[in-house]
Amino acid sequence: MVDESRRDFLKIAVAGIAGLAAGGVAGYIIGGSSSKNRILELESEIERLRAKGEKILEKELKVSNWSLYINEYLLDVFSEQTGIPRGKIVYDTYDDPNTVLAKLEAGTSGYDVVILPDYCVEIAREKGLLMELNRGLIPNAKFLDKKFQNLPYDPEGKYSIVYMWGSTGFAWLEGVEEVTTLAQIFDPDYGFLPKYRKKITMLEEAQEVICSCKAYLGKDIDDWSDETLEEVKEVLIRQKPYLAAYAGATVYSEGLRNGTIYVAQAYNGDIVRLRDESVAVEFGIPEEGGTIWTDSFCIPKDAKNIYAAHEFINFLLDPAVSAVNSQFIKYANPVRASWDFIPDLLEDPAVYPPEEVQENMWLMPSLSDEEREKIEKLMIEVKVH
Amino acid sequence: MMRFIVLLVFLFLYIPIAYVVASSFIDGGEITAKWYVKLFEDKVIVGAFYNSLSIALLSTFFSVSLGTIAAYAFLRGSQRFESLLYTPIVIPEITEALSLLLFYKMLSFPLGFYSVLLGHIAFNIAFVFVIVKARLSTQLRTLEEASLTLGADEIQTFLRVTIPLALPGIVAASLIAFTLSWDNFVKTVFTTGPGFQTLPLLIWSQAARGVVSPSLSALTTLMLLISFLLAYLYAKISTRRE
Amino acid sequence: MRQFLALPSLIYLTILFYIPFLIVILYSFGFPGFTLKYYSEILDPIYIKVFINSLTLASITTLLCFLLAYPVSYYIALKAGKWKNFLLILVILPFWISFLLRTYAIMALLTPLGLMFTYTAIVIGMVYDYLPFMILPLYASLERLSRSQIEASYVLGAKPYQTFLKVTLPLSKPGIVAGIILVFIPALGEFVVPAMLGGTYATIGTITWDLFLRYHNWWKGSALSVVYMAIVLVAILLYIKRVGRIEL
Repeated sequence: MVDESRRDFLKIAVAGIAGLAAGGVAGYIIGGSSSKNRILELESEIERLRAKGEKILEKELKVSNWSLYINEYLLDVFSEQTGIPRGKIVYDTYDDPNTVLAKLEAGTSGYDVVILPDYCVEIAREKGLLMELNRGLIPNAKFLDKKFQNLPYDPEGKYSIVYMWGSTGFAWLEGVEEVTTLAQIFDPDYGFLPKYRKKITMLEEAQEVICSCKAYLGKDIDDWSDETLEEVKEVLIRQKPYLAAYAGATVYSEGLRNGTIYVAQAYNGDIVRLRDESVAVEFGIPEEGGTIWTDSFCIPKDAKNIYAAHEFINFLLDPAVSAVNSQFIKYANPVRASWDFIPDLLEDPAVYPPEEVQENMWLMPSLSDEEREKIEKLMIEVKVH
Repeated sequence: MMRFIVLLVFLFLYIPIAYVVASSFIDGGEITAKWYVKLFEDKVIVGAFYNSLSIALLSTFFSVSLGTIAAYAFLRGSQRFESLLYTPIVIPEITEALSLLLFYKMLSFPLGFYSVLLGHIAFNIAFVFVIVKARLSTQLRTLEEASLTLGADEIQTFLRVTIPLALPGIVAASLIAFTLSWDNFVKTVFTTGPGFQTLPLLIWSQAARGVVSPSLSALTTLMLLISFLLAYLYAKISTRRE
Repeated sequence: MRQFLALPSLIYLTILFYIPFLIVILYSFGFPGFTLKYYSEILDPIYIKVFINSLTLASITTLLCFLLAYPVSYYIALKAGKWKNFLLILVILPFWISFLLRTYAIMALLTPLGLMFTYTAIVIGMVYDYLPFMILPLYASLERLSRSQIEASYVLGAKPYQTFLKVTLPLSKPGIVAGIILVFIPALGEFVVPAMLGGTYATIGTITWDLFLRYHNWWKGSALSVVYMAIVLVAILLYIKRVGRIEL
């Protein structure tokens, strides 16, 4: 907290002055020019401290993030660089961002930095749970690619900065028919659904399911009219008997691994990880498109270690750091200046989708409360049908 | 015939366990003990283990103590308040978890070890109550009265008659309470604070990325093995009066 | 005098359960506002269907658990001698493995059987997870039976099945009731097992979870919880009235 650092500073200043006085007295007693030199020494020491005072960081930091989403050695580097003891950097992982969001909604999370997906950032922002970022403390933000600034869920970019991004598409096991169009996923007559009955999963996030359905129907992503949603509901209800589950990585990763699931609507990173494990799985984005999702840094309103929080964000936005991080976790980062350092990631369409593909993709749309209610009703009706 | 069914049930319970144990020895197709080695190097897992263990042991102790004496109190007394002890079983876990979170927030109670522990105890008391109560009976009253008639005082009666009679119920309740606490996820995730992670939290957060480190399977296998051995030894050693 | 022994638990629960629950009730009315709209939304027939789903699932689970647990509890209580506690531990050990690991194992085992994401899978998962909650209370109650009571029954000329029906079963009733309470009620509110093994099956638990966490509608989630709990508690109270007391 600012007051603490100011208090520390004052303590140092007072000590310095006391020391000076003591030194002065001692010097007077000892006598001569040596005391003058001593005074000059002490004075410049205080000057140096004062310069540092602008940047006095708190001595701890609490971060909450997805699991397996950072190169943990970077935390050691951060600790060295800032002097925050490594033991005081708490890095927690959550299973579901909605749980962190629920804690923020309840009014208390205890964290200084939280990395949340786009749809959570929007809710948090709207409910006033986030602190405005002090961009002055995050100079590295200038390295961000324009595409990842001022996104629909945080139009003025005041409350969040993108950490990593990726795409939502479909994964299929080797030997299974490739997923090239959403018609395969939503239209039973196409033949794909019956062929892989009960072996296909869709995501748990309602927005993902509904948006991809809208893309299949040729509707605009921001179209939330009742007629369109009625159509979406029909399609989803027709699709449901063929689905194994609405599932997140907890289920589909394990499912793909042991052959319980053949096709999954999935996040690219999870599939890249499976691929690295030598699971024979492919990832692709159907021609109608997919979501470009983002996970962003946010600072909860009740964060205590504000300077450290900003410093942490700034650190991870450093192009070199970002490159190292991306290389390790195999996710795409928004820091344009880092892209030169990770050529092999850029070439991997499962990490960085090629330009032509990106053109069909959409960012997670911004939602109003009314639209959220509609989504809630729709999905519950589909699930209970 | 009965022994056959019993065997079947145990088989049913243990086949998935065999799978988990087996998977702790496999790495990409070969048999290896590397996950066990990695386990001890992994400070996060070990930390979570100790957190889970301490919460489970403490919550068992307190909930069993409170629940048992409550069960004793309601043996034949008024039933009016009795239903108050059943409600924690009825409430959906998510609702209870969030209510606790809001409650803690209201009191500005810090989230962490204690907030988790208090929540667990609340939940466990109800389960202990139901189990121990099923154990105690009207038989008890007669035996107690006999004991008192024979000259023992209330405390002696309690210690030498009541408790031993209740013991199997207390054992059963303790096992349940411990297990509920040990493997609890929903309540814990919403009442914990930064830096305090239990084993289930760790496992679920990894699973959400589609990866659960086999070191965790290794950990649970070890736990099982040790508990099994301890229980076996204890049974062998004890000479039980029947 | 002895009633006071219940006080610590009651006080504890009042502070750490009932007061928080009060907050839920407030939310169900739209705290900080006040409205009945969330309750009216719960009256939608959709929720009745979900409730029935949960009811059937919980009933099947409880029945199966009972049928499987009784022989096991009986055996441990009356035939295991000094190995009682050891067997009890054996029963509970599987549940010290994380739920997730167990469920993954079940997933892997059910897949070759083609049973994944079916209703059967959910039932198997539920029975598996709730079995100890039936075995242990039953055991606690059965263990009270002394062999001499059973022997006495034989001496008096009863055949084994008669002994079972007229002596064993009635005397274990407290355990049966306890087991039913500890399985049926939590199973009603269960959401993880259906979510993981049953894919798209909706229960009260899954919908409540969705309302709170996916749709961030804490008011409606609270209302649903309150209605659900009211129904169950009223059912319990009616049972108590009819039977006199919960015969534990």
